[in-house]
Amino acid sequence: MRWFVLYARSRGIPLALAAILLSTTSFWALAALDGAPDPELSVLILVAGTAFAAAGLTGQDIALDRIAAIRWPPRRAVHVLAIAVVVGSALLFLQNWGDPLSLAGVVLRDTFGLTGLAALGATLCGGQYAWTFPTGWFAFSLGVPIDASVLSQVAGWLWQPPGTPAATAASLVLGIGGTLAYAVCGNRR
Amino acid sequence: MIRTELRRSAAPWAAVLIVGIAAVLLFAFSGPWWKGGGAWNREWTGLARWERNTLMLVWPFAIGVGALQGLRDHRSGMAELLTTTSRPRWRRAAQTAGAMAIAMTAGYLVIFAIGAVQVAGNATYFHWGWAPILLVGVLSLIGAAWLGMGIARLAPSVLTPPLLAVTALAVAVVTQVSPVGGSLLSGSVPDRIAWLSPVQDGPDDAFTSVAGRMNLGQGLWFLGMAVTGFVLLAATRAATKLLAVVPLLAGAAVALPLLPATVAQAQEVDQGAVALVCADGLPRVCVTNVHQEFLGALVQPAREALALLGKVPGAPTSVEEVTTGEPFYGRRPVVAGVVQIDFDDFDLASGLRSTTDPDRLRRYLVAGAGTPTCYGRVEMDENYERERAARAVSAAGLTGELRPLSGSGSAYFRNELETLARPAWESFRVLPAAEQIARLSAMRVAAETCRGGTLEILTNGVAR
Repeated sequence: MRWFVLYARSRGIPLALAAILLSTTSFWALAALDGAPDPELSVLILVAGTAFAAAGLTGQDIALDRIAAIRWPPRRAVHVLAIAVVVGSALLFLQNWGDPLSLAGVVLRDTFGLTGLAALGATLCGGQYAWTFPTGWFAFSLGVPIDASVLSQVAGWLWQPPGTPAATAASLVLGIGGTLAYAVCGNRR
Repeated sequence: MIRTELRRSAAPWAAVLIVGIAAVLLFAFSGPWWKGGGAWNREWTGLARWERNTLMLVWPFAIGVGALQGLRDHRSGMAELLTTTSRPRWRRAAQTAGAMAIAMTAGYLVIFAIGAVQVAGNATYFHWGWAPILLVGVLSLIGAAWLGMGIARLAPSVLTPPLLAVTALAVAVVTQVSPVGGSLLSGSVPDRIAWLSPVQDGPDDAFTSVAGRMNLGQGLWFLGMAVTGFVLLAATRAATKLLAVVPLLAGAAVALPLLPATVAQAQEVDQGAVALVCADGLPRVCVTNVHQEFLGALVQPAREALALLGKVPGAPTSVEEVTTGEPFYGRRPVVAGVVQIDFDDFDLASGLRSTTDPDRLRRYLVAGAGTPTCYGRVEMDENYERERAARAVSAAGLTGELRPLSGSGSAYFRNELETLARPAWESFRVLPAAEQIARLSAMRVAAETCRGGTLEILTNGVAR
């Protein structure tokens, strides 16, 4: 328990958690204000959650982390998966009130892929820049025209209906790849 | 010093990324920015407006990058040390902010320049109406980046950049005003507030521009945002930091009454673009100023078509471009005596481009004895197909040969031509010349008023 508390504090998790809950509820309220379910807002909830949580993928001091006699890879993997669980379940939980914003299958797919993207960002650029990966892909896919081409389906994987093979594959590649990359390599300084 | 800032800060990366993001979006995907007369590579206004559309991605990015830059002093832990120097804080702030502004401007202008090279090759109508649209785009990026820097200095947390970027993204998403349905929040929030976001939809055609009051209002709003951001970045006293919010609020207070209340008021017709340019001599063949590059290719087939139409009593005697878009249902208002053409019509565009079939354009213009179709762009039912067949037969009646009107020559159109138009044409072609003209004339009257039954008039002489 003591280890867990110290770890959470060093990664700024309480603040990130507050930001996730705040953004999830406020975007959900915004969607409720509009009435009709908007795919943009439901995906944006997941993007915001993973973006805020991504900042915690870098600790206070990477050199200090390294000298600790702790097996980091499984802990790092658990951290990434915990982000996905918290962000995804926050939306699924809120959806119990009012009209559901999106289908559970889409929430699962998008959360997993976005979390992997954030972990990839932390691996390549460090935690303070990791938010740019999920946010950037989301922003980019807003402009991607919706058609049946595989390029569009992969670039716009966040928006595809559940069960679209190209979108599921994109999510799995990003999710597994990002989690593995972060677990093995850790974050960049 | 500013040269050092340009090299060492986040500014150069920001400029490169702005160009990269927008270029990938514009080039890698065949989105609506490639289609129609308002395409981003066709006309100057279209280019400036489609670049504003890319702000959906670039504007949240700008505020995020600004915030990352604003965290630098906090990260380096030398803020306290810098207060011991005699240089005023605002001068240091001005260098960082200046470098960021230069980067934002450069990135945005490079995208414009990439488009401008293409537009310069395509457009014959030059005007300066795109300049305010471009300037507001640049101002919005500087305002966002400086506000990001200022807020990050005020709240130096690692969460500040993602919070600002995601919030800006949410604002851009929910306020995007589409011409048909309004913004996502249209029901609860006036469009006027939605226009505080710099993101705009690209145009469908080359005839409209952004209203002047829209540009002015948005420009002042982003100017206020930039001043607030800079004051937050430069302020040393708590009172100044508090007062920094004043320019932002003042900008909003001035902008909101200026911003148009409805989607229609947000656009204005570009009078220079829609002015008609006519070919020398008679009969009249006119296109809009913005499409004058097509006039040379159009005038010869158009005059031949008008000569053919001269055989039908009451048929149009001139060819003119229309500037209203094709409606989803029904047709545009008809002008008597004029063959109305629309360069966004696929059949006309492919007819103009066709090198293998020079008669196609003439056939297109005499179809329906010069009357426009009665059906809008989403009406593709059986009535539309019968009308299309009647148009093909009437064109054949004047040119003497039944051939497809559509440029595509696809199996679908060939099939339609064979099953509906061919039998009608076989019965029509054996009639005496006077009877042919009488039926064409009757069909023209029916088509002009959209009474229907045009195919029956051509085959039987009566509507039913």
